[in-house]
Formats: sequence, structure tokens, C-alpha cells
Amino acid sequence: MAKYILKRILWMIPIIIGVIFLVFTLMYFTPGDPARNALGMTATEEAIEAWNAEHGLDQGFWVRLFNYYKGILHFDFGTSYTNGVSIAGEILSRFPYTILVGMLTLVIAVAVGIPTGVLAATHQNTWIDNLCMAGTMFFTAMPGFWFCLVMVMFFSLRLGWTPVSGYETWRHYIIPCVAMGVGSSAGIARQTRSSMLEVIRQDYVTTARAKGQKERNITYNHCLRNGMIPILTVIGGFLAFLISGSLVSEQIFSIPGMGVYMFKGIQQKDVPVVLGCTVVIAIYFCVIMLVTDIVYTIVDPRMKTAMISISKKVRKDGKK
Amino acid sequence: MSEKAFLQIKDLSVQYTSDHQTIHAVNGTSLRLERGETLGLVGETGAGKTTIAKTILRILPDKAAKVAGGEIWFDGQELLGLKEEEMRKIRGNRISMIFQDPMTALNPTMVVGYQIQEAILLHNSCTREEAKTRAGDMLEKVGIPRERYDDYPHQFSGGMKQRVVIAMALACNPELLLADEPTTALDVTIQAQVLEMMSGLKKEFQTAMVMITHDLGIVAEVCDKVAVCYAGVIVESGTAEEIFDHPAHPYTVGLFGSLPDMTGTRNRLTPINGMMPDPTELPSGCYFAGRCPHATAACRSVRPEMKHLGGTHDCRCIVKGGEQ
Ligand SMILES: Nc1ncnc2c1ncn2[C@@H]1O[C@H](COP(=O)(O)OP(=O)(O)OP(=O)(O)O)[C@@H](O)[C@H]1O
Ligand SMILES: [Mg+2]
Repeated sequence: MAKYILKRILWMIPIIIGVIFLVFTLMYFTPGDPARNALGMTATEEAIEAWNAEHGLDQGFWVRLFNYYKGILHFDFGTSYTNGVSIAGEILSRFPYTILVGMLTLVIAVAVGIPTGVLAATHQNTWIDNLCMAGTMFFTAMPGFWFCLVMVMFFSLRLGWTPVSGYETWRHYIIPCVAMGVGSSAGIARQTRSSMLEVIRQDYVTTARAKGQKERNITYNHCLRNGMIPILTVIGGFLAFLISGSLVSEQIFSIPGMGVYMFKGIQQKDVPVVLGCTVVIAIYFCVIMLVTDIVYTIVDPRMKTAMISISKKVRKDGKK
Repeated sequence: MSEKAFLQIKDLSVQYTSDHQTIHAVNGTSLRLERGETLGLVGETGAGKTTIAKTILRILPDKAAKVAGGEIWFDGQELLGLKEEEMRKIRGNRISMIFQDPMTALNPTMVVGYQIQEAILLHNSCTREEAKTRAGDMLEKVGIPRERYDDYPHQFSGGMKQRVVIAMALACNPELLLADEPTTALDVTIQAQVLEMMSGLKKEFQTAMVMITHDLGIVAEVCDKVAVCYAGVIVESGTAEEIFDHPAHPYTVGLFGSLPDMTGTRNRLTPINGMMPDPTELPSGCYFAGRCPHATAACRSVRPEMKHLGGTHDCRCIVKGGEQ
């Protein structure tokens, strides 16, 4: 298993090189003049040229690409076109906020979503099931920002329980995480319900019942463990899109995270910022995928055998 | 027949509902069993044998299945009316079941040892460590080294899984064991060992057993009594000798056709021409009339009653019952 994980980590290198190449090329060919954007319409030709030379934009495509790769090796993503601040530094200071909000959101989404799904499945076709499913429909259909705003209006403005926006104390995080978490729980709840309905019919559940096992243990221990793989896939998907998904809550609550940073970068055609964020997202994405796969094998031991044999098969095919 | 037996099923009917159709799986089955006795329950596929066993344990699927009538008395208690919590204390402890299909009966995400230990821990006041040791003992009893405690079901062969299922059922020394084709997935030597083990249990703990099987050799070897099940009714019952030596019901005769007597070699049930009636639309007369070589007009319109043939031998046939 350790070998498998190591191999997966090594695989991340070519993937990231490829991603950088793609995004770099795309940004290179998109029209627009960053120097003019930065200096304004009234800037002289000389000023523009000087600016281009300063940022290395007077060189050819390949040289620039090579320099970019070289920078990344030293964790240097360059500086922002708009304000000249180091991008690596910005990312380092912003990433923790995004992860913090994301993880809290996920914890709430799981804590709400899984029990709701289980409840719906164990009461299939009763009013409880219908109520749960109507709830998830509602939260799937309603955009996240709407829910954020409703909560702010009620809890912050009317009741004054929580601050309206900011990121200084833990109380600032309550509304963003609860609002986004409850919204995201809908997908988890739906997947949990359908997984559980699948598992509840299985023979080994009857076996557990025949042993005299308690119904609660059967549901949460025997069934849920077996239905967990597709649920984990949904959670993995949520995590994978966490950085871009965090934009809404960061924007509304003025949290200085990755989402707003990248969004501003795109708006201002700040190429190095967009590139830097993309690289970080690519690395993050690979790590999340790997972690999800490892968690799969912990939840379902059959996955371990399957995964290792797949990687062996790939190696064999590669040799041919 | 007034005295209550250790296990007594009276007029049990069970129906399944699927696609708005009612499947009459069990239609007035009655059975009796004393402590330490083994009853062989035989019959074609779809006869309702597994359904009867699951009804005793009350583990039928909640929504699909419905007990339409009847009583099940176990050691002076009526099981069908029992509170769920009371029933839960009986399951796996006083009554346990060996399931038909070992491939699907084990939880794929849990180590086998844990699955055996579960029942021990639930029904005995012992520590986790003690339960683990006892589960290991059970594994060894069925011929699996205790080192394999922490292996997952997919790491076992079919026969070994079946033995794990058996170990699980025997873990709490049940007073009544419902064995649903316990040896089908095993090779002959292991089969003999398992049967031996079950006989040992019978002697040691006076365990009563319902042995569901297609293997007449096993019936001859281990069963004291035999009940023949057809379309959810018992068509003939009696001691093993009575049934093997003097089969009365045409269906039994057909099933046991090629088996000369109790000393005979192992034989599977003989196929009989025709099919069991559709359980969604059972015929009005005798359920077997459509396939019976002796059927008369009366057979097709009158549902036969159980007739007493002497000894403990009963038969549900208006033509053949009584004349031997
Ligand atoms: N969950 C279910 N839903 C609907 N019908 C069912 C269900 N389980 C069993 N049945 C039906 O009930 C009848 C009796 O099935 P049962 O499993 O008790 O037969 P069996 O005697 O055990 O057969 P076998 O020897 O093949 O194990 C069959 O007609 C079957 O199709
Ligand atoms: Mg069966």
C-alpha cells in the first residue's frame, strides 16, 4: 500500500507540469495587454516597454514558460501585476482561511447530510422520507448565497447574535459555515439515502439482525459502512471544488480566502495570480483525490485489493 | 397434541407483496419439534422453506413480507406477538440461523472474527477480550485457524465462508438452530465434519434443529423427523423411518423416488415433471393436483386436510392418504 501511495504522489509531478503548461499557454494566447492594464491608457510607449522588461514579458513563449517552471521549483509564483505583491506569500496567508471555512462547512454538511439520508432511507416512502427529500430538494435548488443572506438578515441583523462579516473570531465563522454546510448537505443526504436503500436489502443485514444486533447498530455500523463509498465520492467532489466553491461565502462575509483572490485575479487579467492559484488548485486536487482513494480502502477493504491490482495491471500493460 | 411442544408452528401463513402482486409463500404450515430433535424440512426450490425459518426468527423483510396468520410457540412463548426488544434477545442467542448463501451472508467490510464476536458480546455479559477469545475458539471449532480472525470475507473461499457463517450461528450455543442448506457449499469431507459438529452440539446442549436441505443423504443421516413442504404447506410429516420407508403423499413418493431406503447412498431430490403452482394464483384444490399422477376431479376442487396415518405419520392427500 505504501508503494501504491508513493507511486500516486510521484504521478502528481507530471500532472502538475501538464496543468501548468496548459494554463500558461491559454493565458499566453488570450488577448489583452497587461502592461496597458497596469499603467493605464495614458502611459507612454517607453513606460510600457520598461514595464514589460521588468516582468519578463519581452521574451519568447518558451523562455517565459521555462522561467515559470524554474520559479515554481523555489516556490516562487512571481508577483502580482496589479500591486506587485508576492503571490506565494498571498497564497500562503489566504489558503488557511479557505481550508478552515471549507473543513467546517464539510463537517456541518456531513453531520447534517448523513443522518438525514439515513433517516429517509430507513423510513422509505413515509412522510419522514418525503419531508427529508423535500428539504434536500429545497437546498439543492436554492443558491448558496441566498441562504447566506437570509441567515445574515435573521441572525446578525435582527437578533444580533453573530457579526455580519469578517474573520477575526470564531463567531464570524458560524453563519458562513452553517449556511454553506446545510446547503451542501443536500447532495450528501441524497447519496446517503440511495446508498442505504441499496444496502438495507442485502443478506448480511439480515444476518446481523438474526444475531440479535440492535437496529441502530445495524443501520450505522453494518449498513452505512457498506454504503459509504459513493457517499465518500460526493464528499471528495465537494472537497475538490472547495477552493473555487468558497468564492461565494468569502465574497459575502469578506473572508480573505483563495476564492476571492483568484476571482479578482481573473477580473483584472492578473496572469501570474491566476496561474499561481491554478497550480495550487491542481496540487490540492491531486492530494484530495489521493486521500479519497486511501479513505476508500479504509472503509472497504476490497478496494485495497482492487486498487493495488489495477496499478499492477497498468504496469504490466506498460511493459508490453 | 394438546401439550405444547418446544417449537410449535400452527397454521402459519406468510405473504410477500411485490409489484402489487401477492405471493402466497407459506400457506398454513404446521410443525412440531422437541428439544434435541432434528427436523428435516425438504421440498423444491420456492416451496417456502427459507421463509418459514425467517418467520420463526422474525427477520423477514419489513415492507415486502407479511405474516397473514398463525402462531409460533417457542418454549412456552408465542414469538409472533413478542415485543421487538424481547425478540432481539432470542435472536442469535436462543434461536439462530445458518443462512443459505454464504457468499452474501457475511458483511464484506468487517473482519470475520468481529462478525462472530458480535453475537457473543450481545448476549453474554463478558468483556470484549473474552468475546474475542470465544470467537477465535469458534473459528477453530469449524476448522479455520484463529489467526484468520482479522481477515475479511473476500479473503476466504466459499466453503470457508460457509464455515464462518456456521461458527457465527453456533457462537451462543442456541437451543434451536435453523440450518438453511448449511452444507451445500462445502466439499464432502468438510460436510461430514460440519454435520458431526452439529450432531455434537445436539448432544451437548440438547439443541433442536430444523435442517433445510435438498440432500436426502443428510436427511437420512441426521434427521429424526421429516416434513415435506410443497407450495408453502406441509404435505407429509413423520419420523425419518416413516417417510423413507412408507412415503404416502404422491409428491413425497416422487421426490424420494430414486432413493431405495434409509441405508441408500446420498441422493439429491428427484425432479418431478411439471412446475409448482404460481404462488400468486394458487389453485383451489390440492396444490399438487396439476402434477399428480393420481389426481381425481375431487383433488382439483377440494383442499385436502392433514390425515393421521398412525404413529406420527401425517399426510395431506385425499387419494393416497391412508392406503399404503
Ligand atoms: N423478498 C421476497 N420478495 C418477494 N417474494 C419472495 C421474497 N422472498 C421469497 N419470495 C418468494 O416466496 C416463495 C418462497 O421462497 P423461499 O425463499 O422461502 O423458498 P425456499 O423453499 O427457501 O427455496 P430454495 O430451496 O430455493 O431456497 C418463492 O415463490 C419466492 O419467489
Ligand atoms: Mg431457501
